[in-house]
Amino acid sequence: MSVLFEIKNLKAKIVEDGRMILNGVNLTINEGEVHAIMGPNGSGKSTLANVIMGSSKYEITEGDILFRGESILGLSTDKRAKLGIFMSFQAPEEINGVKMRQFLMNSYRNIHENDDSTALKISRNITSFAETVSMDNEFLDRYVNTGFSGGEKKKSEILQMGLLNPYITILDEIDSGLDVDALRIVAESINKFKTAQMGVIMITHYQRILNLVEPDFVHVYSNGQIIKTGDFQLAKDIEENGYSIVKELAGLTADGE
Amino acid sequence: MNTVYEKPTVNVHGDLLMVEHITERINSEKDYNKDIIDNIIKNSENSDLSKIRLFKFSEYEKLGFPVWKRAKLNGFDPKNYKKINIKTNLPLINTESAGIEAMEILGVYDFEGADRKFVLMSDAFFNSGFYINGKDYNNKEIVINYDLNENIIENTIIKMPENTNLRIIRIINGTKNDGFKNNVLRGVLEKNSSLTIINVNILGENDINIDNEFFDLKENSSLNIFDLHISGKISSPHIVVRFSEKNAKANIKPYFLGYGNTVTDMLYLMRFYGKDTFGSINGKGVLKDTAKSVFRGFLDLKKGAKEATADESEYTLVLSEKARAEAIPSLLVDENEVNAAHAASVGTINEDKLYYLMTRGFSTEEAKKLISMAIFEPFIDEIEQLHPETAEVIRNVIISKI
Ligand SMILES: Nc1ncnc2c1ncn2[C@@H]1O[C@H](COP(=O)(O)OP(=O)(O)O)[C@@H](O)[C@H]1O
Ligand SMILES: [Mg+2]
Repeated sequence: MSVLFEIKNLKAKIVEDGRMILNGVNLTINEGEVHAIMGPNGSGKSTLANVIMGSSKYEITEGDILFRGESILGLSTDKRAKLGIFMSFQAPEEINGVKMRQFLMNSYRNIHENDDSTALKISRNITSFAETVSMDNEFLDRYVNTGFSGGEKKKSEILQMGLLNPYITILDEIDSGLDVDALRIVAESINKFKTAQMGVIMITHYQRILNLVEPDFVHVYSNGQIIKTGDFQLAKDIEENGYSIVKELAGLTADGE
Repeated sequence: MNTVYEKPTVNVHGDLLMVEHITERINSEKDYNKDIIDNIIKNSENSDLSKIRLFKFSEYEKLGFPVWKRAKLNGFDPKNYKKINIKTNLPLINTESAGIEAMEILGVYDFEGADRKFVLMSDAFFNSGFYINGKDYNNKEIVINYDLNENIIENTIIKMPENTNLRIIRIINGTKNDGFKNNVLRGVLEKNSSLTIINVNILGENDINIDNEFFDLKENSSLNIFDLHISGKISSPHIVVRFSEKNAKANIKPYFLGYGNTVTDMLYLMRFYGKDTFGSINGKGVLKDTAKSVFRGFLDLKKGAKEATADESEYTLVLSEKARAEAIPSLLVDENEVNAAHAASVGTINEDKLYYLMTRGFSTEEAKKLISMAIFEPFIDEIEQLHPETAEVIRNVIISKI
């Protein structure tokens, strides 16, 4: 196992209002590992994901993000994507006028620049990935996420994970807004699409998806920091006791200072 | 015979008094004159038409060319006059040799157009144009190719008799120089007839294209216009639809792409007289560089147009800070029992969509292109269903220019 991805004392603020959201995140991910990040709403989980992707809405004030030992902070979002860093969005954008299949095809070409597969082959792959996430083929002829239900959008994101086959997959609340069936399909797809070379960051508010995609590590996240790391048992504790554990831990840190 | 004259502004409309705008005009030393009209008539065997030409000329000669502040037209010098030929997929009758039915339409229907001078220019001096009768081409497709390397002064008349159906594709190819095309098109749709027109104006950055079109819709007839404008020093469509009888329907889809220093100056007027009529204008466009667009969409519901539905929307995506989009939607309602809505907006590239695409490996530039192209895609898709070759032409032009 080798170190794939490192987040070191990462601090970031919102450009618009200067508010600090990330207050020193530390995380190391090796190939093949699944890391769950659990935290209350508003704790800055999505911000962490977006800072990793290089969103221009945030400014890093301290710390570093390393991919295979090299800082990615100087890279634009598309360059990070091309390195093999993928994020599924909590609320995927609708892009009216861009056909899903064409978008997927171009995304694949962007990220696998040296792959000379024919368009036909990629198109077939797209069809088969759509089947895996039980997305009707008809959706591929629609415009990107346009008019999709919440669940369909999430399936479309997971399809992209499968197709693009990244090294780092960040799933931001992939489980939110899914009914039981859709959750099962999405979880099964994640298990199918993750590889021994891939590191996964699963951001979630609830434990339920973790019963289906088992994490190697569970991190409790609060106020822009990882405040406790454990195994699957930690997720179960949170499920039983709610985020009161977070408050206690947060209280401890505050007292300790 | 009663004449029908439509113009966008109305002096007194209910209790609303609109002051009519007086156009500033400049006379041209190169303007077409009596000698030219006499020469046309001398060589014509169509005496009815010659009378019409002369009559129109009597008004024409009194007017100078307009000054358009928005479109930066400062008068105009017409090019050397000559007769031209236009390529069509099917043999068509030239307006020059059209019979009485066509002359009636020419005599009855008149309008202001983008400017009266240009309407009269095509009426008096047309050097091209067709009389298309729907019964001769029922369920067919007419493709007309215009080449702006010729000085085109068109006068086209379309008659759609009862229960006929026709599709016309008008492709205007611009030049690298200063091409000019001026058009007057009159269309009469009788009961239950259906007409689709796809206007594909692909202009060069110094071309001027003025397209005046007037349609009269009788009972239960249906008109669909796809009106695409790419570039042009000035591309100025002025399309008037008159819903004169009940259940008539019309959809106009104006789409435009402006770049460089081009101006797209559009006016679409729907005037509702008949009951249960339906009209919609749904426009979209993209502007780059220092391009400019003016979009006037007028919905005018007259007393008696009960249960008419009128709807209008317009969106312009502006890609550069120096591009200017102006939308002037207007809704005039004389009748209480109508459904009418209009909306116009101007936007820039949505940062969240841009970011989403970038997380999928698209560079900023590629993502912007994709989002801009996406504006046209639903329009092209629709044309693809009707005429795949045209859709392909449009797609390639837009991809190369956007
Ligand atoms: N682009 C932004 N503009 C303004 N506020 C933001 C922005 N991004 C995040 N925030 C704020 O930062 C905090 C953390 O948000 P977020 O990262 O979405 O939390 P989580 O994903 O854990 O629910 C919230 O208070 C949120 O309103
Ligand atoms: Mg979130």
